[in-house]
Amino acid sequence: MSSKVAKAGRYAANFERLGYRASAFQNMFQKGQLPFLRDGREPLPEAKQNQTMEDWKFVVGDRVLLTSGPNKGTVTSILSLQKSNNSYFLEHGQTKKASIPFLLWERQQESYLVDYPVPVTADSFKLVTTIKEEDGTERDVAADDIVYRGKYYDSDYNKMLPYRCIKNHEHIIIPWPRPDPITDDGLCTPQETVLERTFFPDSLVSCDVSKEAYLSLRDPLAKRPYKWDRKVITKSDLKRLTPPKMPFSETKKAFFKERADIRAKQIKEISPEVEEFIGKKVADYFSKIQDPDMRYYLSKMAGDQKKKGKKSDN
Amino acid sequence: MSLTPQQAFKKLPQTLQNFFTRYPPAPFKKYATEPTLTSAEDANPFLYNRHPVTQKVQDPIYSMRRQSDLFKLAYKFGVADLLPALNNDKKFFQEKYDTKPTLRGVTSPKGHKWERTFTKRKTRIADALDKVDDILIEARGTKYKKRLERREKEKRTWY
Amino acid sequence: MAKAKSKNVIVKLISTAKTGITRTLLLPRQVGIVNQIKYDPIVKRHVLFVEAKKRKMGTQKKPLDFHRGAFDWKKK
Repeated sequence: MSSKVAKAGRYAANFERLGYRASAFQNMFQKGQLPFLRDGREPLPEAKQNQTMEDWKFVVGDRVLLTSGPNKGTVTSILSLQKSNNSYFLEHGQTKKASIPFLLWERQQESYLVDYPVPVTADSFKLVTTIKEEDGTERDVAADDIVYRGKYYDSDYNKMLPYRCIKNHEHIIIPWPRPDPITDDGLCTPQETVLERTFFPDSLVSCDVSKEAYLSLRDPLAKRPYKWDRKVITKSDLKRLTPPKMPFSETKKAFFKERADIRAKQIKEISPEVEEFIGKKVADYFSKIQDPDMRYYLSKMAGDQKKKGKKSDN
Repeated sequence: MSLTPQQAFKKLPQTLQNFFTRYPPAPFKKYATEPTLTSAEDANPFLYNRHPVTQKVQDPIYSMRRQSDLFKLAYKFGVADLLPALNNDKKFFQEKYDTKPTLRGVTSPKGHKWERTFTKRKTRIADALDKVDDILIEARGTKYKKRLERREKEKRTWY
Repeated sequence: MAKAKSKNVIVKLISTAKTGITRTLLLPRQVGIVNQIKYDPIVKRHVLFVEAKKRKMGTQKKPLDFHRGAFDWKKK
């Protein structure tokens, strides 16, 4: 039977955020539900719901002894778990008659009324196990309480599980029930061969794999960092990625040539005759200046002065 | 202390040294006073010369501002006349004022229209005034003429 | 129909002393050339004022013809 309300997801309501107002909305939701789908209990918040096998204590396939309800005293097994309320559906547990609308009938159904199992919490049954006596007889015992001692690797569940022991009788270990074996269909890769590598690419340029199978090779949205996404550009990458320079037009070439010619023609060093001529004139002028302020100024402006941080005019 | 020419040249500011290096002065190289081709031998770096191929006018190598700066600096060091001719016949200091034409409004004021036409108007009236008596006689007739002559004759000339 | 011509016309007379002094008269259209001798204040004397512009004197009355057709053959 489904829980009171669908699990909070993309399109489902999230009642938890409503706080104290949630009950009003939940009641509204329940009234809109079909009668046989209505549940008496409110779902637990996510934090309180059992997640792991250790939280649940009892899993699908466990034999249990009912301690309350009309079928009190019977030994049944757990059929499935109801995560929203931390409840269990039992094989021979309490049932209630629910009327199913015709559109939701099962294939073999002939009646509107169907027996629906009532989910029960862990406090209405006790776990049952078979113990071997010293004289070899087997008898069933119901555990009052379960404690966890030690861990081992369970190959059927594929994880580390603790040993379930009866409280105060820790020599009695109740093993976890064996789950249904996973049936492989034709397209499944067997467990032994799944990590074996069979495809080796021949070339960097072409790929033997067909286009349709590209997505099976590697998930394009994989969150792991891309092995080829290097943060460093190598010399070959740089060479490949830099675009070629546009060739120069004839005008541009002529311009460059002209500019080079002008630079070549420029006089870099002053010729001694010119220097002599100008220097003589300057020397005559300097010798004629009497004004001390002018002399000071010219000495300051002179080219052989070493000036700190003075920018040149040219 | 007397400087050698080489020492004196080094005393010039760097800008002037560079300029005279690139553009030697008059006895060594002559520069045109009018804009020529940029590729010409005597192309003046201060003028707007034309490119030989495109025939487009190019900005001078030294802008007007830089030319002025060079000139003023050279003037301070006494080498102003070694520079080529500046753009727009630019002159500075005393030379500027010497070559400046006088204000024609100061030396020869134009005068008002009425001043200019004064004599012409007055002579016109004076000339017309000379003829006015004859015109009157013509308009009025011989009787009037005779009357005038009589009046003239009988005019008292004594007091 | 053209605008009807008025009976009188404004005539401007200018001083012959070339001073630029003018006087205006309102005269009948048919009247001939009018000259006046009036005072010119610039030259401070009387001078002749002549008509400044030529004007049409209007249709003059045709003088009475008493020749009774004599020498009409001369007219072509």
